[in-house]
Amino acid sequence: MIVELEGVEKRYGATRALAGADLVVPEGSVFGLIGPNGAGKTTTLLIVSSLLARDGGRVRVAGTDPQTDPEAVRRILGYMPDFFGFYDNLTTVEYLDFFAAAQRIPPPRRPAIIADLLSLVELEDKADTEVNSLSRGMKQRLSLARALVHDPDLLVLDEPASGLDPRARIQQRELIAELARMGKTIIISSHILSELEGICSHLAVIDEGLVKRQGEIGEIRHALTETHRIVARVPDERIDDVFDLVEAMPETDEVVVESGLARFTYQGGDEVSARILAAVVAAGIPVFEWRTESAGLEEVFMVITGDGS
Amino acid sequence: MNPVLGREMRERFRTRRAAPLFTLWVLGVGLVGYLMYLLAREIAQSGFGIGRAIAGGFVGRFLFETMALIMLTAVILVVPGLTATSVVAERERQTLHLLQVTQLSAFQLVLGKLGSSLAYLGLLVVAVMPVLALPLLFGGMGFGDVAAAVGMVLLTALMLGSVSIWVSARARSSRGAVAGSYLWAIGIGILSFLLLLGEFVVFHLDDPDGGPEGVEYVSTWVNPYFGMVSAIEAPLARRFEVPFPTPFTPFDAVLFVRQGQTDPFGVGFVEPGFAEPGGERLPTRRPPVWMYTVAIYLVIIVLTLRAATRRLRVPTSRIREPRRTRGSP
Repeated sequence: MIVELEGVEKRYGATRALAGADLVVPEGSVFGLIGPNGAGKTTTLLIVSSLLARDGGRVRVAGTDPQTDPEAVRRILGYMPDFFGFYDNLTTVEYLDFFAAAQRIPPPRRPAIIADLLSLVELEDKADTEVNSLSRGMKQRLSLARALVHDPDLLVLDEPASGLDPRARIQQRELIAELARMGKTIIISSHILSELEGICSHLAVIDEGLVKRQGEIGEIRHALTETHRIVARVPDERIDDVFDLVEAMPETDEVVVESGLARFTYQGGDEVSARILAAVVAAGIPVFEWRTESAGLEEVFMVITGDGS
Repeated sequence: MNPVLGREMRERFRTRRAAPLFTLWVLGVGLVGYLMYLLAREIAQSGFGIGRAIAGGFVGRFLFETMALIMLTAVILVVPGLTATSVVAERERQTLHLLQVTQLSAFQLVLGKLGSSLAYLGLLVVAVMPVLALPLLFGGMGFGDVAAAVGMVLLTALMLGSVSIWVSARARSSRGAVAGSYLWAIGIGILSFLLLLGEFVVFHLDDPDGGPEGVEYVSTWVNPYFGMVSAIEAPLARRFEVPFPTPFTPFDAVLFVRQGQTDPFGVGFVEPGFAEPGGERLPTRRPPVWMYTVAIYLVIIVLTLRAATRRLRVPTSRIREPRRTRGSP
């Protein structure tokens, strides 16, 4: 585990930002931290990033306590805050060179590193452009390059897609996926759940300063939603047979059919879905498609935070 | 080289106003230097003849003293403005966290900020070196005097810069940081004169001359002008029959009274420590003011840099958000 939090507490005066949060981030994962505004996401990330001192509990980042040995944590951690500024009078290369120098990368190594980073974030053609003339999406990518300048194992991204247009969001998702393929552990916080859909391997839901649920994203979905929805595509002339067969099964419910598509819900795990499929196939009905519709992150979030059923 | 220092210097010179300001500064100092030269000539001509004045070093001395006071005043006015926003501006444009999660220590951050302000000031001084070097050509003072003046100017700059960095590290807005820094500069540069006035009233109510033992004016210890004047060894020697004050004369007068030497308004024309030309050296009762000034300033520098470093050290118990102003992100 690259990040571990145990019973972490943090207060801002009378406000309790973290009330004993526990979090475990596996190495190599893309870890989504979701929660409403004010849930404690940014506070958690600031503590992990060695910027904020906790009031209680235990934190380990790659085995090191960020409060007692922040330098060691900063060597392996790249941080991108939710709001950040730039040095507008610098060019893109100068900006990265400055942070490379701040990360104590020797001058002879910097040009190659910067060229690689600009290539990674697709800003090669903006190398000599002043930062203030970059678009918001480009600036966000440049900031990601900045966080990567010392090749950290762990990336902490606080609301990285805020303020981005759809194209820039897609580019950023691709970039994060590429970084995950490179073996980086990435923690992404967001309150826009669609941002995290499809890119996170793991998830933690934080609310009122507590981590309400965490784990592999599939497991969480499965565990939280007992009722699953199946979409089956069969030949149009056999759709009534499917209806009769599925509706007669005790595990199924809400069976709806329409021109070659059958939709129904069932109670239970994957073995139930497999048993229904086997029954349909045994009845001699060709099955073109058999798909389980998982609960979206929003549904998961609503269930966990107690705002949904 | 400290990365913050390098970046700050680059940024400072890329702003639109950098070149016009620099040009105005050089022109301004040059103009003042020329006007002071004309004034010194005028004074000398009316007093004891321009030929003797130049030969005796009056013109050079007058120019030197004027330029030294102008440089010191410029430092008091410029350094807080250059330094006050250095840290709070990082907080306002939300780049401070980005620096704090690098391998740079808080002390390196502080040194980089201070260094860039002082380096800029250094460039301003270097740019007007020809004007400052002019008095050397006329004579009346030596390299030791220049070194003492430059030393005290730099120490004052370092002290005010350190204080401003500390104020900046504490401030929540640039406006507050600038106001706070200038309050310090005014306190040291102007309020200490008012305190001196108070000391004069208290000490000299009954004894206008201060007596043979002199009086210790504590306010002169923190005043950079007295520090500089006392560090410069030789006020104008008594080479002229017609006494005429130079810019240092009022400061010399106070310093001489402090040492128990009377006739303060004639001292601008007497070698320090002598009652009359070629006479016996008068006893020095107190260490020179500049020693106290240097010691006090060094303590202030150490304390404020330490406090600023502590302010910027992370992890901290609370993240200090900048005060939002209209138009800020």
